[in-house]
Amino acid sequence: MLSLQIESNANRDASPIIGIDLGTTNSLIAYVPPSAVAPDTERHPVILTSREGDSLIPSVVTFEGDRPVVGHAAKRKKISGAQDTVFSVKRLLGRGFDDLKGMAGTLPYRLLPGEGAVRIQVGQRIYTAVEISAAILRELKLSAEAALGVPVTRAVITVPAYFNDSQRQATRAAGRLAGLDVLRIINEPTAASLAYGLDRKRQGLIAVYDLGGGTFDVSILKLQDGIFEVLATNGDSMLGGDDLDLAIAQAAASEIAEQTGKDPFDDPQMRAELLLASENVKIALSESPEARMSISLSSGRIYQRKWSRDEFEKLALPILERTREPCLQALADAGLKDSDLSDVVLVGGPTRLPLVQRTAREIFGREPNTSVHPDQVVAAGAAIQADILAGRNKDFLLLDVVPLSLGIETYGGLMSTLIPRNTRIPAVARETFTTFVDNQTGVDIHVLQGEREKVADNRSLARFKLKGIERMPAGMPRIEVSFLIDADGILQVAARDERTGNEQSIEVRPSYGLTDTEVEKMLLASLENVEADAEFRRVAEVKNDAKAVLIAAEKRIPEAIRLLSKDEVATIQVSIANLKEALETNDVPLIQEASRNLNASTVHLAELLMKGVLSSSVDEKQS
Amino acid sequence: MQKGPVAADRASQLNTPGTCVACGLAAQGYVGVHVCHACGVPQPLRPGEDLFASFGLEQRFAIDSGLLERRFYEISRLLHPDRFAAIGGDARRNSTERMTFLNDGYRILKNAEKRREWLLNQLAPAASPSSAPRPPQDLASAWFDLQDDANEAALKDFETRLQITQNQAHERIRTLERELDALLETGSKPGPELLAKMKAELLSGSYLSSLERDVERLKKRLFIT
Ligand SMILES: [Zn+2]
Repeated sequence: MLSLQIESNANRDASPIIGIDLGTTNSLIAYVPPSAVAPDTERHPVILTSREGDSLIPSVVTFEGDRPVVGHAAKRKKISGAQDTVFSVKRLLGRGFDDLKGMAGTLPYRLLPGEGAVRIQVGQRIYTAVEISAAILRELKLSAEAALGVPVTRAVITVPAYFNDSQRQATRAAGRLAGLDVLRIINEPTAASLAYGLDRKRQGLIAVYDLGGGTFDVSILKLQDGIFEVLATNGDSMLGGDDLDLAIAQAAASEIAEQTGKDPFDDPQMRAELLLASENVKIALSESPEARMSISLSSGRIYQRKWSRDEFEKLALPILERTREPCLQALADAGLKDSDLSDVVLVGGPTRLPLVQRTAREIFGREPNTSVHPDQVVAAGAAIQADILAGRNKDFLLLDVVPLSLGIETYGGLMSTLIPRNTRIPAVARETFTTFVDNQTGVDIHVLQGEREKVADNRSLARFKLKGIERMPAGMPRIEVSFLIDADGILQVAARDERTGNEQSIEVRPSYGLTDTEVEKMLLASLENVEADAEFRRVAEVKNDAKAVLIAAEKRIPEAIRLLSKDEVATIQVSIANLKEALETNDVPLIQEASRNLNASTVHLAELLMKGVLSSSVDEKQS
Repeated sequence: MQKGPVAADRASQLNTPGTCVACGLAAQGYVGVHVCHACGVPQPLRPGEDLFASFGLEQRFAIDSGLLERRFYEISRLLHPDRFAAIGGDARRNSTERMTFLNDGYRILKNAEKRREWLLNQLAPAASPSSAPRPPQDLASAWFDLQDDANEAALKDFETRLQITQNQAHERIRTLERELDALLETGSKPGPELLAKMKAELLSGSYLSSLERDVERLKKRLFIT
């Protein structure tokens, strides 16, 4: 079922928690309806459709003046408005300009060099990736409100398993900016496993191979009687379907450059056109052995080329080979061999490509499972986790792990790990450190995330100072550092001088994303949009109420024909037609009027039905 | 945020051990220690709770790992903080604390080396190993030779010897384990001599494991260059 129809107010969820798959290419929203009668095992999520009427919402943002436009409308402007249209913003989230050096030249929009979170130039204005992501999330929120007919303020959002803490915090910040209380950030492959495991016959050890638009993740899980235990997770946050498009585009670009003497990648609009054409070639080749590419060049000439699947696969193979190492590492971390697995689940649009399926088969030595819906399964899983957090599904439980090791900097610029990757959360770790200089009165606690030995190769999450240590020879003071990660994955770090009891602690915020003040400032700016949002929500609510009236009336048509006069039936049918017409518009008074008229025209029928119920004592349900 | 009242609340929570903080009923079984069987409220963690008892297991060196996993799932299902996300407050906090403890306990008990170490520490906190850790002398000197002149044949030879030594050490540990568990089964406390012997074996075992990791590292270096 693709869209959700609210049948009556009684079934309406006053404060729903939605699941959001905030994807590189497309985003989706899902929700588990609170049907009271369904046992936990049958709490199925539904995918909600966007205001544009599609379940897949392109993660593309363009601007009409200062107003963001999201979805298909924005995607259509990917070429004509290339420089003002931002796509694949997920690849920029929680990163600095230096992290993205390799990407800057491949995007039609401009990234600005500078310290801290990367900035994106759109026309005269400059945005952060958090703001652009917030625009997408706001659109998702509004779509959910339109579908559910109630305000939506709480969500579970998925991220790639291999997202580091900065990227997760940036996602949270974007949610907050969009007016959503982000109850949980969960990993995409884990979410996929929840939806996969909804069918309880699917038990045992599974691998989820998740190739998205911009990221690759692999997770190994154990599924048993509703328990989903993550055993290991790995991936590459800079590898995805986008890279396949880019490989095609670059091959075409060098041919065009050879023919015309001009590199089409120098022109942002041409770059956007090439990337889009390449994406289409890739998609076409997943079904047919050949695809055509045709691009009109600025000179007026047309560049045409046929792509065979073989040619494409030669380009794609080295990129897909990069998924092998993370898979083997995840298996090793879980202490398993590929033959221990009972299933390999493919997730993400690019896994439709035959070559991707072949690669997965080769890595795991078994035929992968392509039965789950590769686009919808992540959002569906997020909705299941939302249902669990709402306390409605007591049958399922996700036992999650930390994806990357956490530790602190110690002497010699080395990282000392306190919580190794794949540790179950919530978790706590304590370790005692000491000074390495005589009479040192303070220590710097530098919190790190990553798998490498050297501090410089890992990500810096936070720094703080513990002061007031007594003057003593080096090696004498004892400083206990403790790490605490709660079920939401939020890290708290404390340092304590065991001698004095003096303690310092912080909740780790990224030193790279946005500060709280920055988020507050943006929240204020976003209030400008609130009025428009409120108006929209009102329209959605009125429409939903009217739809409920309409459905109820339509159901009663056979009885109306049986019990009412011809004129009365005709009046009802006209009222139904009028309401349907009104629902095509966003005109609130018109819809309310048509809805009232329909109600009035069915009053007599309702009376007769009630009498019928009483006299014949037939147990007929009121709708 | 709500320092005063919450702190007071938490203090009054620690009432009679073995009874529920919320409804006062007596805790039932190993699950009841974590979550009240009657009202479903997670119980505050008390200092010094026994890892084995947390999973309803007796203190033994060898355990049934399948049973351990089933118990871990069974308790998690009721105790996990996600069950109390919609409730919050003390319930959420207590469940987080207890789940952290359970996760850590599961990690320790699941791993044979860590489990032995933990139990040995419980039985004989102060015991010193009966003799210095005894990496077989010839193996240690072979390792030094290998580092001086690392060639593939010598490496293969060393790996075989290490494997044999590890297998022998493992056998000795298993025998000691059986001996210790048999004593624990009868309810008597194992003597200090036996415990010291075990401690020495464990030290030697961890030396061999670290040697194994060093060999892996050396292998990587050899094959890259
Ligand atoms: Zn109770």
